Amino acid sequence: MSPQTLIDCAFPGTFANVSDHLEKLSAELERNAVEAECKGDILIVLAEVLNNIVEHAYCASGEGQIHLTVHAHKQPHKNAVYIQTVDQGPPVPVDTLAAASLPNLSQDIQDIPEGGFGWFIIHSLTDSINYERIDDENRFTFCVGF
Amino acid sequence: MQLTTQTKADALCITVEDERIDAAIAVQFKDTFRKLLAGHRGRVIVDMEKVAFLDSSGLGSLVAVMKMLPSGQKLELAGLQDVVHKVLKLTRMDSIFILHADAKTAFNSKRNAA
Repeated sequence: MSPQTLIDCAFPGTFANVSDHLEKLSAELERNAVEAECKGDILIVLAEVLNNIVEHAYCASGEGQIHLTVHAHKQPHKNAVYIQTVDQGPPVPVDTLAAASLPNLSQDIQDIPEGGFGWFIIHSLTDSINYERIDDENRFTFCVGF
Repeated sequence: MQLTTQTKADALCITVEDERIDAAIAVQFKDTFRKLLAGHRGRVIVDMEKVAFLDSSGLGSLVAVMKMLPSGQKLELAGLQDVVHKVLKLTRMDSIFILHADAKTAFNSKRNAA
C-alpha cells in the first residue's frame, strides 16, 4: 500500500502555529485509525521537536518557516507514522542531540526545574530520531510504529 | 485561556477549561494563576479533566504555579487524562505533585498538602 500523506505544509515558526498544526495532526491520526497511545506519543514528541525549532532555530520570533510532513504507512505486519521537520535555523549542537537525561529533581520545590525535559521525552518515546544538516537546513526525522 | 474556580472549605479548585496546556499558552497560564492565587491560603487543586494535551512547557507552567504556593505546599492535580499522566510519569514529575482521580475525590481527600 502506498503511504498516506497526513500533513505536508510549511508555516511560520510560532508556538501558536505549532499548537494549531498539532491539533490538525491529531484529527488526521484519528481519521487514519492510529491507536490512541501511539497517537499520543507522536504528538508529544512532535510538540517537543517543533517547540525546540521555534525557540532555538527562530528565537520565538516567528521569522522562519517550519516544513512539516507526516506520512502513514500501513503494511501487513508493520504500520508506522513517519514524521519529518525542516527548518532554516542554525546547526543543532551535537551535545544538544545527545542530551537525554532528566534535570535533577531536588526536594526543595523552589529548585525544581521548569524546563529541560524536551530531549529526554523525545528519546524516551522514539526508537531513534535522525538529524541531518543539508543545504543550510536542519532535518529531523523519526517514526512511530502502531 | 479559560479557568473556572470553586471554593470548598479551605480548598480552591481551579478547572482548566482549555484542552491544551502547551508552549502557546504557558506564559498566559502562569500569569492567570498568579492573579487567582494572590492572597489565597489553603489547598489548591487544579482540575485537569478537560486537558487532553500537556507538553514540557505546560509541565513547566505547573511547576511554576506550585512555586507560587506557600513554602513546601504541593500543588494538587485532579482528573489527569492518559496522555497528560504519561508525560508526568515519564519525567518523574508525577511524584512532585499530589494527584487525584478527579476533583470530587480531591475535595474529599483529607490529605495534608502542606
